[in-house]
Amino acid sequence: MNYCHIRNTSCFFKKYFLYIINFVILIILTVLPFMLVIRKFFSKEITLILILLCLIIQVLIHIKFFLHLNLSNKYKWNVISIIFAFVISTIILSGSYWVIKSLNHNMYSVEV
Amino acid sequence: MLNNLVNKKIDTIKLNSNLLNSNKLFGFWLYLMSDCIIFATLFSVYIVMKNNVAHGPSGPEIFNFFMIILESLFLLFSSFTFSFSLLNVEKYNINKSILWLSITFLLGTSFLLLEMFELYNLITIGYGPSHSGFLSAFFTLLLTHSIHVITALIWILVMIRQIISFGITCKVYTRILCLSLFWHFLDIVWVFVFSIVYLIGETL
Repeated sequence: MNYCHIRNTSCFFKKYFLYIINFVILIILTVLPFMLVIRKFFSKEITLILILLCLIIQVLIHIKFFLHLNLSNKYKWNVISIIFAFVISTIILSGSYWVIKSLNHNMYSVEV
Repeated sequence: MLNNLVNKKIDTIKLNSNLLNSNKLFGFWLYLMSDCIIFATLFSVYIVMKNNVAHGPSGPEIFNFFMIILESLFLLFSSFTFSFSLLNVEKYNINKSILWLSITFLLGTSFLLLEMFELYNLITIGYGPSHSGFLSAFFTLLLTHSIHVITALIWILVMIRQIISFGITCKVYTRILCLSLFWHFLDIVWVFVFSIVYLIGETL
């Protein structure tokens, strides 16, 4: 049977328009950190913060507009699972960084 | 009477398919989250191994920024064309959705070829994955991402074939939704790769 209930398609061109705006924003956010790193406009710390800022904004735009995730009741478990994955990733990243850092400290290794 | 029965049947199918749809999508979403944890582990390995260069090259010596910008733009653009394809699928516009899917496939392939070219260059000048801890972590991370991209590319070809043979049915639509989640997820992982591996590696 060729029957399928598909999401609301009424605002087709509005969606196109929204995608194009997002696309332009994402291109700017992609090229900007590369320019910052290549041209070296700012000091290292400011460049680092700007790169991380661009990263976070890009990921949020991707999740909102491409993965269509929002905080409505329908996506409650999706949001919970993404938070869970985020917590586990944070534990893995910070934990391994911490362990290796104290390992280096206790071994009196030469800082590279 | 008969009409009523048919209508009732259509309603059940609609309900069931919606249920199925959301369950499958949620299951796929859970898979993506566990994949996310795999990538987090690989990133943490990379961050730990970053300074273990063993007299070989460090990151900034081997990165070619022009290639990386090109790869990022290809992948970003392919994400964008995939959304267009999804919009056309939702309008039951078979020809246009196949066209946009093919463009996505071409962009994904060019991304993959550029990345393979870059890694192949590194291996030919003697900086293969066995050279140092840094290079091992770098190759593992990039190749895991590439394997995901290859899987997604095969999946796109399969979906094009399914749209041609079955049209846009409920099952095909669910599969395309899963594929779109997967493709956008790969793009998000690539954003992390170029920010953390290339840019922060260059800055620090």
